[in-house]
Amino acid sequence: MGEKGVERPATPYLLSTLVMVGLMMVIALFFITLAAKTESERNIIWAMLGFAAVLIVMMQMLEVVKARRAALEERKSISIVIECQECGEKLVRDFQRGDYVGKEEKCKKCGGKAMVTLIYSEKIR
Amino acid sequence: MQNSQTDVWSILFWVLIALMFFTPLNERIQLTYRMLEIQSYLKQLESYLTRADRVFEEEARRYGCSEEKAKKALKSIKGFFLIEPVSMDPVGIIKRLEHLLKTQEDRVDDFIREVAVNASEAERSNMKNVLAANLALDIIYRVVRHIFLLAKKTKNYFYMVQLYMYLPEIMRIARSYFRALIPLKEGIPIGDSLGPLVAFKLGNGSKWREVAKNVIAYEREASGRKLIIIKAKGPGGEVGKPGDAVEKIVKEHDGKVKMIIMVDAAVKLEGERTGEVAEGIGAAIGDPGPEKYKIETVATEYGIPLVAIVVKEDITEAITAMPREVAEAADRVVERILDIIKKKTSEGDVVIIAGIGNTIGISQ
Repeated sequence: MGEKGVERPATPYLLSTLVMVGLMMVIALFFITLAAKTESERNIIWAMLGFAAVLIVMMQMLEVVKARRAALEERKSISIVIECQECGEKLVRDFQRGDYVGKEEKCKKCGGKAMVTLIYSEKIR
Repeated sequence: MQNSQTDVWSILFWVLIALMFFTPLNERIQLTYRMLEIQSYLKQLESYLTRADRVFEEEARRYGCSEEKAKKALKSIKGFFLIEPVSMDPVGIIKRLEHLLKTQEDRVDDFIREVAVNASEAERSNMKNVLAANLALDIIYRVVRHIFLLAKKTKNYFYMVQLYMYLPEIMRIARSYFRALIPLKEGIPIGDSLGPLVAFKLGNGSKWREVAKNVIAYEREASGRKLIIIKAKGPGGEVGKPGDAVEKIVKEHDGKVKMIIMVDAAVKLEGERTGEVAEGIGAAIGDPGPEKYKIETVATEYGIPLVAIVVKEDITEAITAMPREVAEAADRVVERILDIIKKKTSEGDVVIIAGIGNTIGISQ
């Protein structure tokens, strides 16, 4: 039951990451042409900007992972509690379509009259 | 040569900085950036809606409707709306609103009857709930798309920023409706079913009768008091007309009712614990107005105290499968009600207990 209700999380980060990295490249080109006079200076700027770009991509990827993890944590199982009105036996099982609170069933232990008394959801751990 | 080239770039650089600071260029860049993000959220909303449509169509097919007919019917009801009554002259506004709500209910009932031909009464009620979630997602998608396109068309940064600010909350609500689809179609009790669950626990095993449209009343005795417990008629997803029921019962007893206790689920504040029980005064019911009005009016007319008991939960928990914490709170609410009755009423008194909410997955 739990799996069916889970949607895939949004990944609104790909486009924004591309835009951010693109902007950084433009700024990099500016700095390289302006400030760097020697090859080593240019390399340092490239390295710094490369590092920043990797950092941005990693941060955005972390967001995606967090969103997916949050969606997985949302997975829930639905359980029902059946109580026997004669022997008092309590049984917990997975919900099946057609179950409802107040539905009468047969007690598996004594064969007496049992009833669904509770239906609830729980996070799947 | 090298110096003059650097000078040109330097000038260009400072011109760009000036453009960014003193013109709306930075706004335009941010607008583009935000637009890309909002567009992806819009796609997510669209996917929710597509899947909600699929759920409705599958359910319609399950109850004997052809795929083509289901698609056509759903398309015809999309954008269904209710125009609220004029409020410039508030006299009789509740009656007018009630009339409009009844007309809307009848229209939706007819629609579901046409689509789900072979469904039972309870299954039709569940289908009605699935349709309501679908229509809610539809209106959210339409409004977000409207503001997005308007901002894009007018290149207005502030439209976009406002939408961007509200998006997390809008997405949370949309996600809640989306997650509600499966419990609603399968008839699983939702967080809002807390009131009917408490009524079931209090009244189960006692005799019941239908007192108003889709509302039943149990009668039992507890500590020498006569308890009349009302709830919507289940196990289909109904809320019924508890206002009519309370009014009828009070009038049946010539107003000699000692207390009306209303139980409902309430939206919690962030930081509050799910399943927390709180007590207050007033009519605990979240209807558009008419039912609450009837209960308040009859209670005022006969001077009956209105006690409200609520169980806290968030909006997602209220419309998706009932969390364990809420289900377990039902027993604590029952104890609290019996305790209030013992302390505040005497033997022979009549007490009405109204379990308010959607009774999906809870029979009588």
